[in-house]
Amino acid sequence: MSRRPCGNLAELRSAYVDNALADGDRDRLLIHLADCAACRSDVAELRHIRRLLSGSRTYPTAPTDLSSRLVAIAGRQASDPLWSRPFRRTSTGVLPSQRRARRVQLGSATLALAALVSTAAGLGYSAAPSMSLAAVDDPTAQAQAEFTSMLSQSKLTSESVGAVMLARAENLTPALTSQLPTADQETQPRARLSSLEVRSVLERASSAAGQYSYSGTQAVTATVRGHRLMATVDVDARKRQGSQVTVYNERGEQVMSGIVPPTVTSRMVDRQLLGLLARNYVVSGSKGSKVANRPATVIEASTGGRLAARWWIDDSTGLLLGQENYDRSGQLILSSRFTEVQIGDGESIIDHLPPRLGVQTTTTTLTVSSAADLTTQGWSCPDAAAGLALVRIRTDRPENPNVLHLIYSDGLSTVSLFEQQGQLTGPPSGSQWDASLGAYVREGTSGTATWQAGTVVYTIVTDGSAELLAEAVRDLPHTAPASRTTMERIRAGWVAILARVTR
Amino acid sequence: MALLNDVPEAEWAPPTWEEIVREHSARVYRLAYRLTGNPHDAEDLTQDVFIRVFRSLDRFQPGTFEGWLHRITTNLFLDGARRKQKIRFDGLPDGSAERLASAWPSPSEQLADADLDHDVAAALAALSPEFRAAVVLCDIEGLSYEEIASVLDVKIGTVRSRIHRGRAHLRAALAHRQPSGERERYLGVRDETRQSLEPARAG
Repeated sequence: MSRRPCGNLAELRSAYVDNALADGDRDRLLIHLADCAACRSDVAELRHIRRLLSGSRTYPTAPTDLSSRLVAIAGRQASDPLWSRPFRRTSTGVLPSQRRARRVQLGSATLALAALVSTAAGLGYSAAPSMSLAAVDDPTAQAQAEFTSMLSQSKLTSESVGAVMLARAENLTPALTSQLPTADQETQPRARLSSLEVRSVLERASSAAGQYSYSGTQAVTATVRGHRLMATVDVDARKRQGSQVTVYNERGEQVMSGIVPPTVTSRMVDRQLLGLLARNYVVSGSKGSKVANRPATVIEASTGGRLAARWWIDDSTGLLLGQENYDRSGQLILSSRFTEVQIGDGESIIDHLPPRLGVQTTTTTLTVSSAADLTTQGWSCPDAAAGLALVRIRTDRPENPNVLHLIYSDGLSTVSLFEQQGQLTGPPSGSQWDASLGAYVREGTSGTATWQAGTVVYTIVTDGSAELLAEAVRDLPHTAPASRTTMERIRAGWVAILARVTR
Repeated sequence: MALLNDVPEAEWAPPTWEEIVREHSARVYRLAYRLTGNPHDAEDLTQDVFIRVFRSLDRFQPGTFEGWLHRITTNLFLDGARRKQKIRFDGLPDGSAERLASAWPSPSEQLADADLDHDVAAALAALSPEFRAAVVLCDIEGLSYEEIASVLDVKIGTVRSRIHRGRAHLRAALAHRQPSGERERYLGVRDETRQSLEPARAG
């Protein structure tokens, strides 16, 4: 039975498909979508239409003689450098707006100012040195949020796993015992679930993520380069706020502590992921297991008769209580399991944490091959940094991005490079200026370095060593920061005043 | 033009016209193709765009060169489409004297889009030029709403509304492409009974 989708949300749904909603509108819509099947199927149809248009990537090619005709437009000047033309601006700027100009009754002489007014009004930040650069206060928090959330994207991954990834491997002692944390004794015979039941358990698990507050202790083991590492992780998760995690090594020494931001909840996306899982793996499940004394359902994904992953999902809440991942040879590569846990649904606020750990700004994942394109747009996208290979590129939007997040990895260490158009206003909190590197450096559970080069603020976050950090910093550009002349400063001031007057 | 930020001031040289053409013509042609819907008009439009660009290089306002190209292409297309519709149009406020006459046949008359499916291209061509421009810039060119607003010089709310309405038309025209079960909803079998169950809400 399908109801008609809600008419008053039609524009929001369309903009949602384009990822063009402000946070507030998007949250409002997502909450509605969770309960409205008609609107969900409407979104799916809109996606389908969008795919029909954008899916084709074999572009029409221009006839070969067209460019020679275009070149001929310039006659004999075609191969002269266009000295008098302003071609320096290749990144985002703001086009002059007739509409705005009319509205604010500015004469044609102030068209350029009108363009700047619209800049100030938030249409976009200019990358150009002569324009007033967007102020970048402290990019490190954002960069770290990107870094951790990149590690904890999947809802079927425990937050403690991300945290252990963040911890330096050398701080985690190799396991003294070969004994793995195991599920509680399974005395009762297990009841197998139908595929429909399995699916609903998984759906419940992915929608339960972030919806409960809980605290507990997890035992985590990871196999890294043939060594099995063990860690104990204290998790304090608060509904929709993220989780505070503290990682201890086997000797009980604190290795690191930090916060994992909440995963973004979208039932549509979850369903897509679960659909993928179901397509690529044989998923089965059975009731009657127990983890940390809580009744749990076990879900197993296998392929070609080989177990690939196993999850323990709490029967009463749907929370993920434990997980195991196996590689192709059947070796356990990752395991996490609560040894004790208390679950509530309280709304208490994590108050002792700095409120700055944000949600990711980057929403678009690009292929690594787009590095060349981005380089021509003035971004730095080296194939390797500190010897680690570029594995992923994320941006805030598909074209003309303002923010770029590049991830380098060798499988063990990760270097996360965060580039942002703008002007760094001051030292990031807790950072010291390192003159030899030419960057603000902060050491901690993950090292960060921040500096300005040209019109870009660079921030590096890494879980690797200080040497790795230094090497990565040296591999990137260090040109003189763009400075403004007095005239430009005065003009920027006027722009700010005009923006206030005309809005 | 690579790595502008890294090149010291003294070594930097502006591009030549040849380089401008080499770097941007494929992109302009692609957009022109999407807007006009056929190679012949796309070629004419591309040529018009570059003539316009060359003549007004001196008047290039702050902004991105790509954004400027997008705007000129879209404006010339809309201009031509309006002329075709025999609607008197007061013209672009900037330098309307040099607007180039080019009366394009309507896209549906000459439809030969090689890589969009025929029915998709036809549905796109049937949209009014304003809606088509917004949808093409969004779905095919991948611009953000902010960028589209800046290219078309309209408010973001207008962009949102045009894309939404353009998509609604596309969806109706492409109802046969929807996964089964959705079709009758958009082929006119309006579900009146359901509608009456749902209280009217303010938009």
